[in-house]
Amino acid sequence: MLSNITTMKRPKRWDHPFDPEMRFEQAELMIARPEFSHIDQSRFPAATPLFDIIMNDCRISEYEAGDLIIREGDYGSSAFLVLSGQMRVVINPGLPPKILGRASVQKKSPYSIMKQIWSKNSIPEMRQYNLGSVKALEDTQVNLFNAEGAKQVFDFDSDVPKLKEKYKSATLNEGAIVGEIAALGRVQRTATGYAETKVTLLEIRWQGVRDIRKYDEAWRTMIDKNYRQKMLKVQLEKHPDFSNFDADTLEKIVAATLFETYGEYEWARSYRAEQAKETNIIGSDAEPWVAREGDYADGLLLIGAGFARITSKMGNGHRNLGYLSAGDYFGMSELYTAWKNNKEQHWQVSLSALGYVHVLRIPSSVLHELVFPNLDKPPVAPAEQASKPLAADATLAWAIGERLINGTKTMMINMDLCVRCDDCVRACESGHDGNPRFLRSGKTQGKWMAAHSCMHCVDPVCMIGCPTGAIHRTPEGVVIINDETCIGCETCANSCPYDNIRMVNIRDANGKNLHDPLTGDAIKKATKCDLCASQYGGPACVRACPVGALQRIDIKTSNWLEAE
Amino acid sequence: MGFVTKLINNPSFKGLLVLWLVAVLVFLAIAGPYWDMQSILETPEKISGYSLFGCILFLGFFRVRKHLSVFSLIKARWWFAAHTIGGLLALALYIFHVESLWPQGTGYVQLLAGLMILVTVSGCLGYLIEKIFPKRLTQQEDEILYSQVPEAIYQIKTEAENLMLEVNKSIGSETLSRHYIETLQWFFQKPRFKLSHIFGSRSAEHWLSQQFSTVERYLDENEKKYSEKLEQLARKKLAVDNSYAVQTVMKTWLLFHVPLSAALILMSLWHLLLVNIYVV
Repeated sequence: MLSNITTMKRPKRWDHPFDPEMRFEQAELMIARPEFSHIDQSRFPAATPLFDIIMNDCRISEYEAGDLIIREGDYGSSAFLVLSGQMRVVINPGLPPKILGRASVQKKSPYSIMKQIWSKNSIPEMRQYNLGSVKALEDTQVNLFNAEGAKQVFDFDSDVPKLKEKYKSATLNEGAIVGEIAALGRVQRTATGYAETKVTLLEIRWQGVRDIRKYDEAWRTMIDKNYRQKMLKVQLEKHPDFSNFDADTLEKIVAATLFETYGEYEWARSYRAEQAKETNIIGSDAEPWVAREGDYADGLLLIGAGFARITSKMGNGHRNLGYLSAGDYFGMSELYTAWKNNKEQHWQVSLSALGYVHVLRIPSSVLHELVFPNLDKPPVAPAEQASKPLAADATLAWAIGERLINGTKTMMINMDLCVRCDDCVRACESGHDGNPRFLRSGKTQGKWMAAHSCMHCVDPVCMIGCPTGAIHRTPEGVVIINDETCIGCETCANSCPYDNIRMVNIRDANGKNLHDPLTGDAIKKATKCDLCASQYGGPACVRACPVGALQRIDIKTSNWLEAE
Repeated sequence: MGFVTKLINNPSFKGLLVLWLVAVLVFLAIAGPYWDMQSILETPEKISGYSLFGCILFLGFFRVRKHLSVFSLIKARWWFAAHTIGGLLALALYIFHVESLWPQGTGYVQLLAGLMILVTVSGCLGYLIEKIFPKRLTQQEDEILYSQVPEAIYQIKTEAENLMLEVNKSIGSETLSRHYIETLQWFFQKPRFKLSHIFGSRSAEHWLSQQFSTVERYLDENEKKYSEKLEQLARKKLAVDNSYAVQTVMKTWLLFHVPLSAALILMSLWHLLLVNIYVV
């Protein structure tokens, strides 16, 4: 039976080690280093022992003085452990983008674009692999796992002294770890790092960092501590109300600030379960309170990462007044007014964690002593929402409830305009292996439909758990899947809370499904919208809509609700 | 004042304004020399004829553009706006060219004029359909994709039939299932009341209410629970029928407009060749 069908070896997690050249002896040397030698290896599961993590999820890289190692703003997927030499990290202000030599997504060649016209009606999801093994592309891996590349962008003799002089920086010596926060936190890198001397680094891709942190207490403590210190400081320094403070004052504020986490880090599962129940989840375990209306306001709440919902009591429920995301704060104007009038302040509205949220709580005493007396101008009170008719915030409440606020490129269709011609679907199909990367259906509110298309989330939970790192973010923030390294495990498709990732059977040049020779099961790949990153002119769906009904929006920055 | 400022600052309004201005300028650019040359040229209608043909070709390119979505051409919404405004320009040029709504001349010319009018009417009708019908679909609770209509009907029908088997088995009464077989099965089989849905009449709902009130007087309390469930399924089917009917109109008007347009382009080309060969 199986002899009649086309087969290929089923891909596995470590089919493509981070560094195929990594030798057994090198891994042994690594595990003997002080950073790893103390680790209790018996705590690791048999399927993912520490040694195999080092063999498969790590690579040893050498950089010459002046080489760029990590770049501010990139969505990095790996952490770096300094094995020898010195690395320098530019602290703040960061380097201008031009100096960083930012790379752009590679666009299709004119021939490839032309080819799509006549090839679009051929076999969908056709792949031209060497059967028996998935083709590993060295270049793709470099782009995938080390988005920063290892290009020498600075001239050591002329640029580096200038950089040192102009930008505040710090030296990292042997044993230091850098980049683990961006790798694990799914956030952009907050600093640029380059080699100060010839430096040897152990680069650990995020799956490896995740597993080591999971099974070793010391690594977990170290990473969590760094997370609090680095994130908090950078966020305060970048915040408009704190950026003018001198270093000493800022240091005092940082020292007094409390770091809190609410909700679940991997919130997608509980979100789906709650959605299925269709109950009010505000205040429940799935959406715990951060601050409750009427409680004593003991400090300013600054959102570090994630989302929080602002509500007020309304009848027997809670009315949505808005939401906060990274960089926003809660209670500034109320606390300032209370301080000015020498009164005790209680929260006027409530704040709850949407999924998970990192909160930096700056105590009132610190605000009274260091912040409020030094503010250039009084903080602006948020716009009054509660007096508006209930119907006015129905769409926003829907967008918050459905977590559409997570998207940076949500496909929102005005169904009053949409003529259901499916030109958007056909345009998408023509640029993506003959198979559209979205479904023109989804959740609706009034005239709006949030179609099933990747939203390129601020917090892309789909990236959690990908065993090979095939799903990743480009420096531009576009979440894409490397088809070459996707093993079809469906983790991302199951993790996406919005059902926006589809698994497809792949075919050979004759249109036959490819099968696993051992089980006979079809080989699948995860597919999703890539915002037509390789095409010119932006997403084809937007360009193809004849009535302008389809938009890709970021609810936070677009005037979508005003257009309502 | 605020409304006017908002309108002027709206990029869509600005774009449309530019397109209208271009259309008017094109018309004036053609009409001006035409009037000037009418006295000195023997065949001034050549200017309007060529312009009209050019305009028709431009309108036809909108269809071609749909197949070239891989290229970074101007957004389709602007093409569509230019297509509708260009359509009106073509109509103006046509009237200008034939100097009335219906030309004097051979059967071929009459046929060409007939095609031109049919294409224009179908285009205007299509424009109205695209403005009115989407809202009617949005107002419906559960819209369904056109391609999924057969599957949805099959599912509802299967649920209804299972319900009837259940009522027979659990209650032992055949009244409801008999009424289902005699009357309601017809409704559940395939999309019904198409015209009623297209014209937005409520006759389908009225028919359903009639059928359920007819049978209700013969049912006991237990049977009524099943009847209510069946009615819920029927309402669901009604929504599917509405989706189907409205989307059918939204898709099929193009089946007239596009082939007619293609025929118009080809016949215009032939007309142009004939005129060049025999008239000049």
